[in-house]
Amino acid sequence: MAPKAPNMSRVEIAVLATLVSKERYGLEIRNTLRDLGQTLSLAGVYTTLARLEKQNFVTSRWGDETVAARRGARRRYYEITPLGAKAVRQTKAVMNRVLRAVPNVAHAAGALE
Amino acid sequence: MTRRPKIQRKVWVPAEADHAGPGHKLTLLSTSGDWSVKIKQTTPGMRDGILAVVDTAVVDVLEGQPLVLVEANARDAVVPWLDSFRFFIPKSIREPFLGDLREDLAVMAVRGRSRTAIRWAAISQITILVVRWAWSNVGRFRRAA
Repeated sequence: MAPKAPNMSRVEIAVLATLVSKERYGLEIRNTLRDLGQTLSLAGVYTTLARLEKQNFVTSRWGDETVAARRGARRRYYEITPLGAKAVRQTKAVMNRVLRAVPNVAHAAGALE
Repeated sequence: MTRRPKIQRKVWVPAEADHAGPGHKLTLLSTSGDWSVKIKQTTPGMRDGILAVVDTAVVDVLEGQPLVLVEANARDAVVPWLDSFRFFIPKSIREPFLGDLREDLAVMAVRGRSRTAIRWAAISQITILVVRWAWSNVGRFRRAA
């Protein structure tokens, strides 16, 4: 039997996937996802990140750059952990298998008509 | 300290600056940090702002970066009352969330969005956060019970 994907929502996987290449802060994650076609509110990003951090899928650190528009608020950078990277890999493998099966499903549905 | 390259070309940049004029200072924000520059020349352009010619060398340093925006010192905060809501935001994410929200609202302002739209964006983001946070904690209490 094929290995199972971890029990994670699409948003959790999407947020985690943005962190595979490099560490990012909340707004950067939101903007990256928006550019990729996955709309998500800033509030959604932060509640998801808090959940992922509790599950040890990400770790975070304070940024040290100064940005005037933030009025003194520091950025919080999130980095994926090995456990998080494994979760992304497993989910990707399962989704690939599922999507590869789609043409067969379509073919079978056509044959039934 | 980073050295600024000398570039002669003038660069026009949109600025959210109702009261700024020649001689006023602007802050250029980018992912690599902030630069303080002086406005050389202005012209009425955007509905809620101006177009300004600033120190061209600084603008060239920032060209091609993903987040570049301009904000006038004349206008201190896009949504000055945002701090009043800070106690509704969970302490663990209060500082980064409010900072990111301010940064996002500043980008909206620079892109010419109306003040009403910016206010609604701020209110809706805080409301969504509070509701989502409460909902996730209800789920946790249910599992514990």
